[in-house]
Amino acid sequence: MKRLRISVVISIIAAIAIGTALFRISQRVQSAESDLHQLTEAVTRERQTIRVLKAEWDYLNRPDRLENLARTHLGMVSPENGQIGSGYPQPPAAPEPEAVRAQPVSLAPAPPSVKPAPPAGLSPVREKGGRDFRTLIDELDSGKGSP
Amino acid sequence: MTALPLHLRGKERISGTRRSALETARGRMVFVSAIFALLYVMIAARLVDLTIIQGELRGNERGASIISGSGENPERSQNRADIVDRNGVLLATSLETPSLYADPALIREPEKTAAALVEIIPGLTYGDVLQKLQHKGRFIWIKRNLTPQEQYAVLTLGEPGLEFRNEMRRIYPQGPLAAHMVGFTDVDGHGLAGVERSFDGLLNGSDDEPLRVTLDIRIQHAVRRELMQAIADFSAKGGAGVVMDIETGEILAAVSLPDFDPHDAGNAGKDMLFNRLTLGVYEMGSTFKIFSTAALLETLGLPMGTAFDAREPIKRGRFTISDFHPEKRDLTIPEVFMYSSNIGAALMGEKVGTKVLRGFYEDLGLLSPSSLEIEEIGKPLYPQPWRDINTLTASYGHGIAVSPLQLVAAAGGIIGDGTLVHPTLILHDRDSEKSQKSPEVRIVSPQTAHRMRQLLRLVVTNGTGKSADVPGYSMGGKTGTAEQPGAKGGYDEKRLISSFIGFFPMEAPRYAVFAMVDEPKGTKSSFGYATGAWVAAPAVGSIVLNMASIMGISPGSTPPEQDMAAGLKQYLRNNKEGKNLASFSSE
Repeated sequence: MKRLRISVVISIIAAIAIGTALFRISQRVQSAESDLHQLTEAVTRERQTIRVLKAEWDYLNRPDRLENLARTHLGMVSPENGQIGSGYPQPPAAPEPEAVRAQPVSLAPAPPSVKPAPPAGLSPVREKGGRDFRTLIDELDSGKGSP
Repeated sequence: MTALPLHLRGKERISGTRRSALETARGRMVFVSAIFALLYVMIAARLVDLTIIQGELRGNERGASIISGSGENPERSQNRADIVDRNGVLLATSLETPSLYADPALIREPEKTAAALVEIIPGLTYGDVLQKLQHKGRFIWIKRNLTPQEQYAVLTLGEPGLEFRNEMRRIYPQGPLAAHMVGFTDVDGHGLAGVERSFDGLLNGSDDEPLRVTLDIRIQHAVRRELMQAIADFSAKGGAGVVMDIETGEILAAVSLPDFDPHDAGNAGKDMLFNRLTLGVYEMGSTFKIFSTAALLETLGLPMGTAFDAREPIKRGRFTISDFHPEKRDLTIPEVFMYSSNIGAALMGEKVGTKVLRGFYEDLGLLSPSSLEIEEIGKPLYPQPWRDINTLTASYGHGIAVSPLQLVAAAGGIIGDGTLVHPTLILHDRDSEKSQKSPEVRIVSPQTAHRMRQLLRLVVTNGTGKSADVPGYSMGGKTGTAEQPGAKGGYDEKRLISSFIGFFPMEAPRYAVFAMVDEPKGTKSSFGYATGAWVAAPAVGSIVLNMASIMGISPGSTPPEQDMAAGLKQYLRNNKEGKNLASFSSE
């Protein structure tokens, strides 16, 4: 009898212990899953907030709004004719092919007016490749005077 | 076995086989009941787990999801893709907004609820809402796309019959600024105009990449501002403007005025929704002299000194062609162009011949609709059949109606490098573009292109386009002042289309800038004139100046003797360089 009771008791205890362990693991997993779900939802909400903020940013940076603000608070206006200048003498623009100027009449094929390399000053400031060495040196000397 | 006395039987110890059988039975019973006990304990534990503990975990989520409305809509529909400009600035985006609906069965006091709703949400009428709340059914929209404040106010009412569902709403941060090109959608997210419509499928597709258009919103703003100023100054009906990169055909700015708020497109007037740049077709007038002159130079190769007799108006049948400010003498080709002589242009067109001129216009794309990537494209009108008299008028831009965009693209092709320009609104990857470049179609030779550039520069230095000049940027262009067809046939000299098409820098033109004003009226300061030179040319000059500072294009300085037009000065007889020709504005 006693032996039976002990083994029964042990098996009951073992069963309870295993059951408890299982239960705990299961609960931990579920809790982790719930956390994951909440985090995913939070990420989605933040992403949505970022979209809203980006729209708001571009809305606040509308050109007409910035123009009004600049005028009101900084006294800035659009440039007038003649206010933008190059300041230093530029090398002459690619001269017209001699043939065109010397003979106004010419049914003979004139040298084709392919696009000459843009005169140094007329390229956007970012295209450094289009400048010539002299202009670059001038610029560096005067500390980037072009607007 | 000895029979025991009765009173001793129960107390007899059980032994032997009977004893072990009983013990086994007892053991089994204990075992089984232990198992059952265990099972009951497990069930009890699971019950506790499921109801109390899980309830705790999920409780917070449920509450939040009710307020956000996502519990009702677990599967959010895919976002409609954004539309951005060439620098990544948002032009159109979809944001989640709550939409209010009612479950009339759950509403106890419709009158009270309706009254409260009308106070919170603008644009609702009491009668309308009351009818909805008494509707038979379980679902009816009250108002879609509420603001967060409105939603909060409705929630504080605490009415269980009012619920929210999140919907995506299309937002246009730039407002009316690029309204015609970007377009707008209906409340369900289907495009109704502009790029929203023509790329509807792509935007709704699974791709989350934003759609990049070629517009630069800063230049768009500059164009719109200058046009609005011109329209206000000259009390005009409307206008259109465009800035195009003639090397690639990319459209940096495209404006049509009056415009509208794309959030409220349903309430916009027809005139505001009408895209004057691409859909409207107009007789553009003298800007067409670019095409007839190019045709002459290209097909006949005549020298610049060739003169045309502009002493008297031309009479053909019942038609008379005369100049606005007649010079009453022979005019060389540069003079015809510079003084914008209709007589001279008509004679040039006659010399080219009907078949050739018509073919030239067709090659330029003037006789077929533009290939821009939106649906609001107008079909050009031209004479069918095309008779010789039509050649005369088409040479100075009458009797044929095209959209301003077609004009700019055709002129850009001639002035650029002589190959056709295809206007486009969609920004392509540099790599893919190079690999798929469509073969270039040549319309004029490089020599003709060069001569045309000289002529256009002359218009700005000496001719009707002086007010478009921007020192340092070598502007060239052509003015146009066209009378619109009158109601009873003929032309109405009070209703003008005044335009100017400009290019810069003329040595190697990169950008075309165009402005058109619809029905301007002369003012005191313009001496009563409302021509292209007074109305549109100054606007183009301002636009170029603004463009230069926005894009960082630094000016050059060319001494006058090396100017593009210097070579043509010898063809100007009775040289009136000193006189301000803009005040004549001869068209």
